[in-house]
Amino acid sequence: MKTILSLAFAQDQYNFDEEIEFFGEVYRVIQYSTNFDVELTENLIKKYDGQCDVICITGIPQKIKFKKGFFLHPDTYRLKTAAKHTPIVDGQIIKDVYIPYALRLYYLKHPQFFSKKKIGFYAASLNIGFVEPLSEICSDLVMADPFFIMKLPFNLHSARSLEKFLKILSPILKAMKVQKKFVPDFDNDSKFKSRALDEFLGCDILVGNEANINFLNLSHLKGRTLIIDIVSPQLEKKLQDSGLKEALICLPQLSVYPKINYSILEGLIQIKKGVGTIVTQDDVIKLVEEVKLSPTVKTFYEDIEEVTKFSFVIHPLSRSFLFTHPYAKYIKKYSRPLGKLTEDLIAFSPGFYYGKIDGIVSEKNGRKVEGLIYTVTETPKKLMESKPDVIYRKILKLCEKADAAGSKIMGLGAYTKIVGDAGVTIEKLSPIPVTTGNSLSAASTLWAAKLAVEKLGFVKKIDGQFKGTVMVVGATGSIGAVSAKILALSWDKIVIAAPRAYKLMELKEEILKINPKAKVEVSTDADNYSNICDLIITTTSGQGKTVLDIMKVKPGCVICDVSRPFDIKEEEAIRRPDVMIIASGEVTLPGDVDINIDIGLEGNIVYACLAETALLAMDGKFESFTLSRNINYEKVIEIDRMAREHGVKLSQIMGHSGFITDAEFELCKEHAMVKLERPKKREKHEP
Amino acid sequence: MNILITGGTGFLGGHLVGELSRTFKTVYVLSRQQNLEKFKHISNIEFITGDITNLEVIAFEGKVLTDFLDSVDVVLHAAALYDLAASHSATFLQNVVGTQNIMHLLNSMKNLKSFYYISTIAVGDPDTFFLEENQLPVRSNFTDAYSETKYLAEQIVRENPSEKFVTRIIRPGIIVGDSVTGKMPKIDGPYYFIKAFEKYAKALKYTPIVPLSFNPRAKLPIIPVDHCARFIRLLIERDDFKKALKTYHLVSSESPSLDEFLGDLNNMVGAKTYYFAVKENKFHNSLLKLLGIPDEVLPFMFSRLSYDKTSTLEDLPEINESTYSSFKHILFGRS
Repeated sequence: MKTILSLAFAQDQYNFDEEIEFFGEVYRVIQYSTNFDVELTENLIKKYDGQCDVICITGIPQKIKFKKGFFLHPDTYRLKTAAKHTPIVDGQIIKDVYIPYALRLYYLKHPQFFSKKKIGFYAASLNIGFVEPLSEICSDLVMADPFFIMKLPFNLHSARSLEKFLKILSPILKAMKVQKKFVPDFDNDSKFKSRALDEFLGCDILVGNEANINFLNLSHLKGRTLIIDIVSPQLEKKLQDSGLKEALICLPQLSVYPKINYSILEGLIQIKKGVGTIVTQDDVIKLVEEVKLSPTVKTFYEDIEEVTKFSFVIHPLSRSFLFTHPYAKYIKKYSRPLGKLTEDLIAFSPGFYYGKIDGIVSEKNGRKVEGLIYTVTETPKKLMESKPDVIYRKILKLCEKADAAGSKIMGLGAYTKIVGDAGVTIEKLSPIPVTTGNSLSAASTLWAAKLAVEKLGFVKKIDGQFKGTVMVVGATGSIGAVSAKILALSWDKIVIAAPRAYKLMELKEEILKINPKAKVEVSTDADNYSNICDLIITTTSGQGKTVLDIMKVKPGCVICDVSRPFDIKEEEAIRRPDVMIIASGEVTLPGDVDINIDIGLEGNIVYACLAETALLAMDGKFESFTLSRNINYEKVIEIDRMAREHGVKLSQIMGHSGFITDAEFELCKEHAMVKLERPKKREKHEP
Repeated sequence: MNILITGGTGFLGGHLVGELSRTFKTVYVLSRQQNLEKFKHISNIEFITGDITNLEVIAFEGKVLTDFLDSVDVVLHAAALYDLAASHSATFLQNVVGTQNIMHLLNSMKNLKSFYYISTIAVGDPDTFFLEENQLPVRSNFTDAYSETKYLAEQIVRENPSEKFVTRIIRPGIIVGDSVTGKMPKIDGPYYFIKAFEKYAKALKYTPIVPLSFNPRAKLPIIPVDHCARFIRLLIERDDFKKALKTYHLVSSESPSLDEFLGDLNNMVGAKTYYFAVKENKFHNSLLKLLGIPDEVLPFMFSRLSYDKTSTLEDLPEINESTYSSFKHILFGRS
């Protein structure tokens, strides 16, 4: 059996002697924590030199490389050269290779974690591996090295100044012993604490390595975010006690062996390679691939009772909304002549906090959620006219406000999400995740269509399967494609119509992949099939062109018009009272919801896109769920599932002009019955 | 039944070997040397060459080693370095590393029934009031290397209980000389006071009041070495191997408070000095040092600790027979 001796230089009271299986081999791992005792560490190395297969040292000051030369503490040199026979490793090579990779990997997956954050290093010189990747990601770095090492009252702000600092001080640093009593006190609560410490503690994310953090007093970590190389079970307990919010751990505890650390890992590689060899960066890359190492975020402290906040941006729906303020009641009668001027003037104003939605409680996990509603001052017309940059800037200001107010996610409402690239730029620059809410909008529209079909009752439903035909006009667009895929699951026959045939063929194959039993018809002209369809979804970008001849549609058909502007104009709709035309579905949130402002809907009904933001907050899924104009089939299915779990329900079906009442459904049904019976009568009379 | 003793060449270990050779078939003594003069009169003793600071503690190899390991029923780990002159790293090597190596050795003993580990009462935190038997206090401030390393070693023993054998931790108090012969090979604990008092006896006779930094109610947890060895033998004999982990405090009953002890010292030299207790401070501590009382005794002078003896009394009612008054003559009769 191979023996690994691990010496934890910066730890105390953490000794063990265990046998573990790693890479299919059993190793005896012996650890002694020497608590900054260089002499003891050296004696242990000398004692076991030749008795064990590898000696791993953790917590000693590591070699710091500059562009020209390097800095190595004499104690480190003394320890690393103490053994004559057994190789000594300190995990430096793994750290050099793996930490930048891990941070980069995490950044690519979760850019929000780092965006617009001020990052503070306890001692950047001891964590050189973190500095490079983080300085690429973030521009605001604070390095407390002068305070950490020598209690000097200033901070460094770039890798270059760090290099300078170390070069100047290296003779002094070399003469200093590595001792516990030099450790500075970051918990200083006095009024007279240095400005440097103040600046460091003002950072959003603190960066340190296990060896440094282990011997600090940790009460200053309360409610903070930490980036750390590795967390030993001993440190984990300490962090838990300190009230730390979350930690990004580069090397999570491996399930095979929770006591692993960088130098033991390097020791394992060393043993595998054999005596007389040196571990190289390539070996580490191989290991990272083999074991599939990846960083994780561990949440230490989560207050479940706390109300989770989300934010949502709306805008005045029309000019007349600008005069709804009580103070505006005297000029309200002049709103027509003043309208244009007011619209222009008020667009100069920045966005502001408008009101809040209170009392949302998830049915699934009981999480309380509160919505902060912000508004920009542009009317839809202004939003479309002005440059996207101007609107982005306004919305970003609101995102920052929302972040400061403690909300975790931002939703873009109504026209604010169609400005420019539909949220992509805003998401990149915002401190909190941003969503457009289109996934739930699509889902709720389909719920509305389904409900409308059920209310009219012309289509038989067996085992949740509609025995009828559905048509999607504009099926190759993103909403159309998603609708077609979802509808194909619950309808007997589906017709997909769009101008470009080759795209339709692609879509047909995709649908058949999801549901091989579906009957799919393809058409480039919607009118060919409109007389047999029971439900028609139109999602074109026709900009007012006629895409569907409403006169040819089957009586009792439901047309769900998702396009904006509408495909079916109101004056056309009036000509067919026997056809139900719906525009969207709006939803209610679970719980005793109290909205203290007018968002343009009655009672507790909210926009589906707002509901998506609330849903994400309820689920604790703070990510940019839907962005850009495209929506995604999987996302719609997921939000649909989330909505059902948390209790977001369809409440009203919207038509062209407001909600559609049950009476209107009855009326439409009667008209359709008459029309359906008439041809039969004719047939009877003809012979 | 065979027993393996480490530290058999030490002060307590020597007494233990004598005691245990009566009940056990063979007593294996792990030591670096062989055939010690000291144990010539004992027949059922066998010396095992080994060093607890080595990764492979016992120097045997192959079948000899496995045969030996299989024959051991009880292990008594009494080896420790208790030397004020020794460096921190040497103490660490013997006490912590040695214990961890022994713990590793235990895993390869197939027929092992129990493991006895001799800890010390010094693991208790002198800033607290009560040292419980069944747990190790959380502690990070140590004044001397001995108590620190013994604390770490007990932590290792306590945190790694085995399913195969039972673990018994024994915390003897300050060990003093044989209660019959009074033999004490080296100066330790209360003997520092005795030495100092003997030295300054004349001066004390003419000094009515001496300010001294100490806690008059601090208990001196002392036990004579022969009592200690006998109690350990009794504990090993009576073990029913049921509860996985037990801890015993071996401290004589009616252990004296410092006030009483100083009174006895007065009697010894014939002085009538009143010792005025002042709070711990640097000046008086250095005064104590001048008297020849080393740093590692100081915690006992200010300690407010009392020691839990619940499970000791359960398994070892005889502990009450060892009283301070029954053996105090050997402390003060010595000259």
